[in-house]
Amino acid sequence: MIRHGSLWVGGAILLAVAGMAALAGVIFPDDPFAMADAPLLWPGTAGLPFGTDSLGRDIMAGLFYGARASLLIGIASTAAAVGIGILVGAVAGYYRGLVDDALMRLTELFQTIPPFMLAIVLLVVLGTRLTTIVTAIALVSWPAVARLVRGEFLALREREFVQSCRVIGMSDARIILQQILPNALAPVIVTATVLVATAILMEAGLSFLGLSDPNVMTWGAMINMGKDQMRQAWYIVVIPGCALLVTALGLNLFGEGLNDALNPRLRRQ
Amino acid sequence: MAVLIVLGIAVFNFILLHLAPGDAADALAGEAGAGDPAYLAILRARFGLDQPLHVQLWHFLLRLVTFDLGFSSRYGQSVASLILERLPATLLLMGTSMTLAVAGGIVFGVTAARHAGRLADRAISLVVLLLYGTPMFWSGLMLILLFAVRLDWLPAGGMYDMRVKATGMAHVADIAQHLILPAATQACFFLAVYTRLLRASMLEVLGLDHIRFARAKGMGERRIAFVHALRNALPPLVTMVGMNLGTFLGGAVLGETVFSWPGIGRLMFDAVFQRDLNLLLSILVLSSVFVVLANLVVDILYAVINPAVELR
Repeated sequence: MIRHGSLWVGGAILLAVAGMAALAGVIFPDDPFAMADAPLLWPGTAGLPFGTDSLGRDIMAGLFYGARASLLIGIASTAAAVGIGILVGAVAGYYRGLVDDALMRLTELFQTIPPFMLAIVLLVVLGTRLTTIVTAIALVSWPAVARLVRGEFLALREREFVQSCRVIGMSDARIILQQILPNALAPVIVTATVLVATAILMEAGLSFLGLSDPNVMTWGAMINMGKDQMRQAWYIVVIPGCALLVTALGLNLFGEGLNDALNPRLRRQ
Repeated sequence: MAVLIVLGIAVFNFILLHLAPGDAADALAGEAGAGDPAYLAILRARFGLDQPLHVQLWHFLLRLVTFDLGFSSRYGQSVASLILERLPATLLLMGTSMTLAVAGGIVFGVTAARHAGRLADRAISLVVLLLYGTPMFWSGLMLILLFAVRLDWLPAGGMYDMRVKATGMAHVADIAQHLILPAATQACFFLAVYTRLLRASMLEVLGLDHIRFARAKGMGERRIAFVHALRNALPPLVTMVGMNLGTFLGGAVLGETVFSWPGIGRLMFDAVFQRDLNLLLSILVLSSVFVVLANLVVDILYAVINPAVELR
């Protein structure tokens, strides 16, 4: 138990954030964009533990709804990125040859284009809604997964259990999905955990630039709206930033712990 | 290979241009031409939007090769000159922050590896973990809050003091002062990445035979670590830096926006604000080309520090 300390600490943080996301609507039934009290109330005044922003919105409520947006976007975009990455990586690694060459050139292309810039342009082209934000982040995140999966497939396809599957005439699709993929999944899961953190931070960056769904309260948007009052009311910027930091930290710790747990032989020195 | 990638980038951008709502003329006109049908008609004729897609693609590529990126009505100058004008500021910021990140990564990574499992290593690991999770734009705001607002030691933004027109060394000092916070902000995340990477590769190298041999000769530990082991641990770092170039440039959008640094990143933010798709796409294409070129340089560097690799 103690050996997997980071797994537990990270898991606890994630549970807390997930709890905030789940309970946002229960604890704060009102619209987080609605005015709750006078503007720019310091934390602790008027029974509001985190105060209000320049438009009198409850920061605590924003924090809860922001958790929901962050987790939703982080997990959905990572799931999509992992899906694309597995598809590309598995096909490239399993079939090798020309298919592999073509798919890897495509992957390289996506890795050359600065990911954050590409996400920005995609959002300007597609418009900022929850679905387009998820799409944009997924489209810039899949190459890392594709490379990882391809490497695993290249190594596993030569193993005896795969060759015996071929000998008994199993179809390629079944070999890829039922035989190789389950064996390649452990590092993918670890990478996915870290990708969720990256996606959440990227979403926050995009929101900070004003590229967020105007109907969804996000931590990045809260920071963006608070930055002009930073001199008088720094708490508006500090509080959601800390939430982002803690969430990303939790995900990274969890990923590190998973890595240790899933690869006992590669335990950190 | 590099040519192929650049071609791919261009085609990709062409697709993006056509994904945009309305036709490409609407997108190219940006905000100024949005309501002016005459201007749109001129644009349509100029870019041959009445022609089939493959002809359009050919013209698009031709314009890219001749560096004809169009005109930004907002700035009243051609997009190409606008971007070139902003490039030095971004290169200065990028170069400084990368140097900081690599130097810091080497010092912390080697130190952590030398004291693996002990207090110094644990302290560094903790800092790395925190830097890993900190959103870059937010740490920039926090640095402004601390060093510009509270302590008033450093300027909160811009590249030089607008009030006094400094010249010569004073001008350089002025820019350096404005450079500290944005460079530190952008360096932080990558410092964490490089520290972690170097710690791992140093631990691997420190167990090798030639290190034991150096130790047996009675060579000092510090010299062994920084001279003999580091040389072997550097190649993965160089590869990583090459791979991070695009992320660095993307980060510049946030860093330069927070610090009002007059570079390409800030230009991109303004273009987002004005929904100037042509400018956005031009920045995206040129940034990607820059990454390709910079990676060629990294490949050469790689061969220099690692004689086992031959340049093709």
